[in-house]
Amino acid sequence: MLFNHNQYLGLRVTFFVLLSIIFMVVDHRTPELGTLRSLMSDATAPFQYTANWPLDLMNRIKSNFNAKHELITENTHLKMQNLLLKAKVQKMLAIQKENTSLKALLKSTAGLKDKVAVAQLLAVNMEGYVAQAVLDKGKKENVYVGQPVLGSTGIMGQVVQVNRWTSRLMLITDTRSAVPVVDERTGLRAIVIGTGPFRPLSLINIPDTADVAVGDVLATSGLGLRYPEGYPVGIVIKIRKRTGQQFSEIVVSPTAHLYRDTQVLLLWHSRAKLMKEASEELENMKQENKDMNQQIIDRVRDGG
Amino acid sequence: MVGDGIFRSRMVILITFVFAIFLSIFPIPTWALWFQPAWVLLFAIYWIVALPHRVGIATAWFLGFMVDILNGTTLGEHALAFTLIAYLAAKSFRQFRMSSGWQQMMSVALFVGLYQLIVFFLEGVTGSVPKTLLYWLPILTSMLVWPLVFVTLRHIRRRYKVI
Repeated sequence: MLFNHNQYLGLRVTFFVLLSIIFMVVDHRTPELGTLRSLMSDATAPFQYTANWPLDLMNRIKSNFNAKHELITENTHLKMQNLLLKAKVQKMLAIQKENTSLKALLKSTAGLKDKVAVAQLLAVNMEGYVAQAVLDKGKKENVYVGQPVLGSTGIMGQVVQVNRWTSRLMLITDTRSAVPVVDERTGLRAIVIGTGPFRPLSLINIPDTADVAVGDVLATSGLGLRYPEGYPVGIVIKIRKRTGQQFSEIVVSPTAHLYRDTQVLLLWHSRAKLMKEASEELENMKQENKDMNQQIIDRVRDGG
Repeated sequence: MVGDGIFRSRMVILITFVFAIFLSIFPIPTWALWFQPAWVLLFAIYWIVALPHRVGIATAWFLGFMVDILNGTTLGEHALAFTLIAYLAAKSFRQFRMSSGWQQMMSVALFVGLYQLIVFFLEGVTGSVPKTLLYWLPILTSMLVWPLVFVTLRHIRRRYKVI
């Protein structure tokens, strides 16, 4: 058998060499063998798939590990994002609150025909007997000294100093503050003064015999033309009648959120325009009084 | 009985060739591609030398044709190269068997070198010439891997009584 194979070796080689050349020429020059090639490629496809299988397996294992690693990375990233978003949400809550309070503030001026402006509290000063705050509106916005300042739930105070871009607000709890009020129930007119920051207000010069009860709402009376009338100032929470003393001690709790609000309303009170005229009239009345007194004294002297 | 032996032998040889093809198409990183030995050729050389009456020119041609299909080269290119190398192996199988390990390695290097040369030439004729010197690297790696191939296939031949 060995001999047989070797004998025809040369012949075989020549045959196969020629066969190869024919194939090469045909495949190179014409597309005829395309079908044969694709057919045989399909036949060898199982080879390819099987040869790929270990690599595919390794890739899948690798991607599992990668997926885990990716998940961990993604998780860390998401946690960080979550933290940032939470912080933003907190800010949003604060903004929402501010929005609500601003709306309330504006609503409280719904009936007003007077001009209003929203001002922001920039700084507060609450030491000793001083209860003041700095507002972010000033001369540029036509703020004037004595201008009334409202909160969303009541009178806050008045402007005591005006700078170019800022102004100073004196709260009604400041010891130098005095607000003319009227008892809504009885119509009794009086003055509410401040006793210091974080302390309640005091209704002064009320004799024991006056009709004041706990729970009475005190609103601005409009007298003095500084504060517009009808705004709540405080509620009576305690009445102390002192024996031996002429006046009662009346403790009033302010209705405005003096220490909570960050936004306030500046009011251009239409009646304020009348202030100048009214004070002139007041001066005239004083003068008339003085003249009349003088007249009576003269008459008495002359009468003898 | 004899038929069984021949059939079984043919099967075993076929399986080894299938394995050789697997090795040649196994996915390896791009940089490692040049380092691949000519597996199919090496297996063919062994079987031609060991059993020249069983594996001959026809088998070699068909193997080369398979390589063409798998590599997408012009049909007949590697077939031709396989044919010529198989001829050399078949002509010199006696000397090959008698040579020592080193000598065999040198012969293998020569065979693979000629194989690469033929393919290089034919590639130049039909397609594009390989431009890198790394193209000749398989000569070295085939030579180095030959002892392993030889020992393994010999073990299989003896174990499964391939005749």
